[in-house]
Amino acid sequence: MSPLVLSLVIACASALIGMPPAIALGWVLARRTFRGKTLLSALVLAPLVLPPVVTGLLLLRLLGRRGAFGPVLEGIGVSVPFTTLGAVIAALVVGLPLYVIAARTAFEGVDPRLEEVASTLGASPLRVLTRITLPLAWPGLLAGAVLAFARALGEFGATAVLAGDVPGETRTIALAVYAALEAPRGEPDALRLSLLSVGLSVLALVFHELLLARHVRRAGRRA
Amino acid sequence: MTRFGALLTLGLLLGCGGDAARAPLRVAAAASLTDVLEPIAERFERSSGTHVELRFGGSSTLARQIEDGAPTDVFVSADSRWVTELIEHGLGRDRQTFATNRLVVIVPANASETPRGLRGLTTLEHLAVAGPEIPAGAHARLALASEGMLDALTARIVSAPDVRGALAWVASGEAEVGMVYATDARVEPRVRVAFVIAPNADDPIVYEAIAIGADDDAAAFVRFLRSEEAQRALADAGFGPAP
Repeated sequence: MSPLVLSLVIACASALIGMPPAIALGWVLARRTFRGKTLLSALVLAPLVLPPVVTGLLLLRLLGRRGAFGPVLEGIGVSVPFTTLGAVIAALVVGLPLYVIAARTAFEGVDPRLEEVASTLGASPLRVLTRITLPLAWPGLLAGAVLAFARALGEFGATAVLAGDVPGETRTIALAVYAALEAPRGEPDALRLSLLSVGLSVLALVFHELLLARHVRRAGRRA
Repeated sequence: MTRFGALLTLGLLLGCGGDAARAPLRVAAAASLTDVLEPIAERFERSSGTHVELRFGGSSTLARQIEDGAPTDVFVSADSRWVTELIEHGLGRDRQTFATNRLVVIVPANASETPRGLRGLTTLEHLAVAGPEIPAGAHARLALASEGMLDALTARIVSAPDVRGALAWVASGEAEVGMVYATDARVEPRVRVAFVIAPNADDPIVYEAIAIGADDDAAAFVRFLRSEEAQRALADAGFGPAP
């Protein structure tokens, strides 16, 4: 696959696969109080501030063939290093903090009184979640997905360490730009890919802004 | 700069006239030469009396900086293409090859099997090399191609963004085998050399230096890299002699 297609596939996959954990973590952090909540929050947000290379190295130590979960993964025939899956995982972990922050904010924006009213009218907790909470938080959750997608497009460091620079498998736009800059006449290629990267990122961020604006309008109508 | 700083600088410039104020020699060198160039630069300082400022980075990064006007007197490169590029742009002279390197095939130090030739690599799952645009990766692919093994191994090749990345994968056991420079393999105790790739006359792995600008010290430093004492230090670090 070309770097452009690969970037899009990896970013989409990481945004989709990241959705359930991001929504679950965002909801827990917004709606629950428990011992260790601060620690959980710090752990989830850590990849946002860690050098991506460090995140990549830790992931390799966990998911690599000689990593802590290596034998388990090998048992089910899953290979993470040097594969597109590895690039997806790297992008997912690095993008997850933004995703969780967005989901948490989205859930915090849902008026708890609406949930209480539904409850007192006899709705089960699951029904409250699917009929009240999720529909109201949805634009914010979607905005988080788009933000995670955009972050995944820019991922370089963790991907390089965990998944390498395998053309067609893990060579995304970011890695292709890095490779193009190695060669004396590579700058035009690097610039072309960079412009592509800028275009994609801006598009994603504009979409994110539109979703957020919609979320705010909805919240405003309710107030 | 503050007024005090400006006065201080002026004072220093006026106060230390003559030879002592000679500008330091600014040497931009490939990162793979870090350990060996520091003692060589010290020896040059002792013999010439000129202070040497070393700056390390990827050959491509440094060459781009020089093209963009970064003040530099000597460029020491691990990538011939960039030396040619700078000379074509009229930025360098006195091109000098001062060292060579070899590719080696490495396995993790605790590996149970040791392949004895390129043909023995076809049964292994991952061959870690640098990317095709990186000199180490380009040399490795040419070496495989010249033995007619590139097609057979292409599906097993995993590329790292640089040669140290490929080395790290073999060291951690993620890849069963890798192809790196002899000098890289020496500094990583968790790998051992399975065999050495014979030098390819059509694709020599050379380290070159050029003087940027007209400074006499720059030309002297480039020559010094071929001196007996510099060559001894390079040999101790595992580099081959200049041809």
